Amino acid sequence: MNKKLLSFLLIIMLAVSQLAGCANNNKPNEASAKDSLVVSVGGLTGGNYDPCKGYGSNGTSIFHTALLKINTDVQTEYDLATGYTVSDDGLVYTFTIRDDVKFSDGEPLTPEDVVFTYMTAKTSGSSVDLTMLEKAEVIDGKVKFTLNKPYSPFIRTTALIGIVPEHAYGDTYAANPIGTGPFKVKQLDINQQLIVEPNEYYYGIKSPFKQITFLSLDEEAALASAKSGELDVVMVNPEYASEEVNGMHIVTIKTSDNRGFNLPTIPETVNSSGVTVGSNVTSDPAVRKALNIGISRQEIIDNALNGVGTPSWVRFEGLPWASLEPAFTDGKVEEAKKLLEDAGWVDSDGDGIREKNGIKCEFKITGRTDDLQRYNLAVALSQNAKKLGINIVAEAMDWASAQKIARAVPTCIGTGDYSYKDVFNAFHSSLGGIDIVNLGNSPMYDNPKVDEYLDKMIASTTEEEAIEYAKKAQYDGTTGANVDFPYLWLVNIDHSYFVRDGLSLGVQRIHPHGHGTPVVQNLNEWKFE
Amino acid sequence: MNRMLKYSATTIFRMLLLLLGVSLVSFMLIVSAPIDPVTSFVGAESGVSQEQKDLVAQHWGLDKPPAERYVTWLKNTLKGDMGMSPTFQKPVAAILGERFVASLVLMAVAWAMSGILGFVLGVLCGAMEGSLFDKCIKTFCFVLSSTPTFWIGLLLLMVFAISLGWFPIGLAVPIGKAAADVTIWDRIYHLVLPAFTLSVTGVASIALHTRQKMIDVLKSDYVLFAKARGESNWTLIKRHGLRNIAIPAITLQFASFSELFGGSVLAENVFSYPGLGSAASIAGLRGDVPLLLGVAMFSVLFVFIGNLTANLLYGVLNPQIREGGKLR
Repeated sequence: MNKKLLSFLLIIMLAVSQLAGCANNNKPNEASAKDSLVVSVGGLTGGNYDPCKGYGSNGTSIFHTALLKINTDVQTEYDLATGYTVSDDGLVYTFTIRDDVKFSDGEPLTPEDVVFTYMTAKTSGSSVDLTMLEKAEVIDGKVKFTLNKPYSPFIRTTALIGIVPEHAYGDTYAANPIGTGPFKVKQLDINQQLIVEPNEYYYGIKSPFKQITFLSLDEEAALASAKSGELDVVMVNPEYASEEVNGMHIVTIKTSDNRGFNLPTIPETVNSSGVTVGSNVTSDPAVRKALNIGISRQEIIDNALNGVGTPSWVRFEGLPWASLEPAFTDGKVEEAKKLLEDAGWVDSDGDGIREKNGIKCEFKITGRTDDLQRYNLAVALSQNAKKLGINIVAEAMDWASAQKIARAVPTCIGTGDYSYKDVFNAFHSSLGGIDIVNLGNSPMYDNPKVDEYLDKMIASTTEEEAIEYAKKAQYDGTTGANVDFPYLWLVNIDHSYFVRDGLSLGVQRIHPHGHGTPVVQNLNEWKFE
Repeated sequence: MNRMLKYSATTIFRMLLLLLGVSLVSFMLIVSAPIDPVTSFVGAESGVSQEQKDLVAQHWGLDKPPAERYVTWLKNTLKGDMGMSPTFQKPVAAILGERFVASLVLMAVAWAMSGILGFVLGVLCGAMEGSLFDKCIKTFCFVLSSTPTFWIGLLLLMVFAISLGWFPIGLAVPIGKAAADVTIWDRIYHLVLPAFTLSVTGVASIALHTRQKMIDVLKSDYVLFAKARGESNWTLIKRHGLRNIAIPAITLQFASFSELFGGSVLAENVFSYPGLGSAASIAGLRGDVPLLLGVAMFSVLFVFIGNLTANLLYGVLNPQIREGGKLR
């Protein structure tokens, strides 16, 4: 369905219905008494709750727990594991497992269940990436993972794969998951609603609610449904965040869900498929730097996102492995202009666009058609760059095509999850080939020093060490991605929810990429105050 | 009897040919769409390694050439196995089954409603041509038939569910109610708005066609003759009108199976009603070949059966067609 048109019509109708004054709505719902909640945050009603096939891999499963967990500082912490060791060569990870944990069916959790989970996930043909895992086995009551190459982000992986019970795993598991998490499924009406109730065997904080119902209403209809008064928590787009709903208040949560554009760092060249990649404009470091310091991110956010969002110039803003060195402030138009002029980009024909050696300082960018926010960002960026004498042409394009041509035409990327392997994906030259068609290192950035740090990051045996190298890859005092600017990051999206007055969502860990479900990460801690 | 047998054989042969053609065209369309199913499956921004993407492709057979994939699909389907949907990670047949059950009631109610309402309105308008009632209904029908289904749905939702609060905002069952406690009344209550939305466009076309036919019939010589014999208005319509005007209504009613199917996609989306419609759009957007082919096959069957029923009913209603032996 044409979502843009739909949301437009919806807005019109909202306006009309309010003008008409037929507003005997907004009755606070007495039925949502203190022992149950109704929540619409998108997703969740599809019946795919199998961690072996990728459920909860963004760290937000409500049915499962993993060996480790990611705490509110986005650091790892013991959960089902009581400890672990890593061999010096980084190839063997040995975990000791709690022996007092039961699944929601009352059966105890064993190390064999852990091994079963990993071996099942490895061969499930899903988005769970365990290609680095050679084997998992139980030795002396401990779980031993052997990797086929040193891979320090594996520790993050163990915090994101929920453990399933070997004795209760089968074809119907995905719709009726039995896990060690705070909730279990009470009833699932596929694609309509999911009703959950607390798991009485859960070893952590227990939810005060008897049942919580999830709906997955269309994002465009979310506001309308909030106004009907039947819901307690509703996800909304930032466009609607200024609306008022009786009995509810808006909660805006910081995220690491950032948006920005890749800037091809190599000049135009033809790859082996005969496709032109690279850009003669953005391959000039001066242009990339001028854009990064010359635009005003706050202005862009005001124009594109109603002012809802946090300006950001590094990809990992808000996550422990982000390096904000060397710091700078943006909006420095004069400095950016000087930078461009020194590099030979001068507006000689007076059309407002600079030239150098007969090449105009202009390039195309795309924003995906099914995400209005990204297109708005593209347009706002284009307007903001005009004052620098750089002509950016913003176009809407379907997501599949935009990705395909991203190595020639920058597109609006969203990223930011709980694993620092993303640092590798963003900058390592092995992912920057001109023949590759995906968004990993799409600027085709190649800095040997950065590669060296990233290789060391992957080979590290502790997280502290890995994160240290991840930061150095961004800036080590002289070089790094933060001074080479292979990307132009703009904003960390804020996630907005209408929440019933009096309901507390607890302390929320910074949300990863993907609006909606991350809010349920600590569902068991929600309570009325 | 022999003729009947021959007719059945031809029909079945045609249907198989149609299924084959539609599946081939659907397959070619989805394969040539600029969607990489692996990317849409693991997520473009998920940072999944190339090795894992290759594994995913291998697991779902996406690394093979299109022709081979189609032939494999065809072979398995002939054996009754429609394959697994990567998106839902379930057998396609199971998805179609559970979704069809959800849509069936909705479509059946909407279909009956549009048929009955449209026919009655059409007959009344035709009988009272030029009256205020006729003019009102006619205008109403014109407005309806030029309005997209989802817009009507949204409008009804805004007015009756949100502003007035008479009906629920969506879904097929009450929010948070255990399945065992859901009564038939709950289901009907949740069905009203989506079914009404879905029936709306059908009502307009059937009413307008029936009205026109009614007017034609009333102006015919045999009606004039009947009038001259002193038959009253209602007997006139009953004896000479209904059978004649039923033909276009029935054609439209059964031919509307396709519109019904298409409309349900939109109506279901607006009302978060779980049915085949949303399965179709998800499958298309994510390059889920087995599911899309499954839905396509299903809709072909559905529409084909609709049209076939209309053809057979002609014979029942109109002896000329039956006795002429020109069952088509």
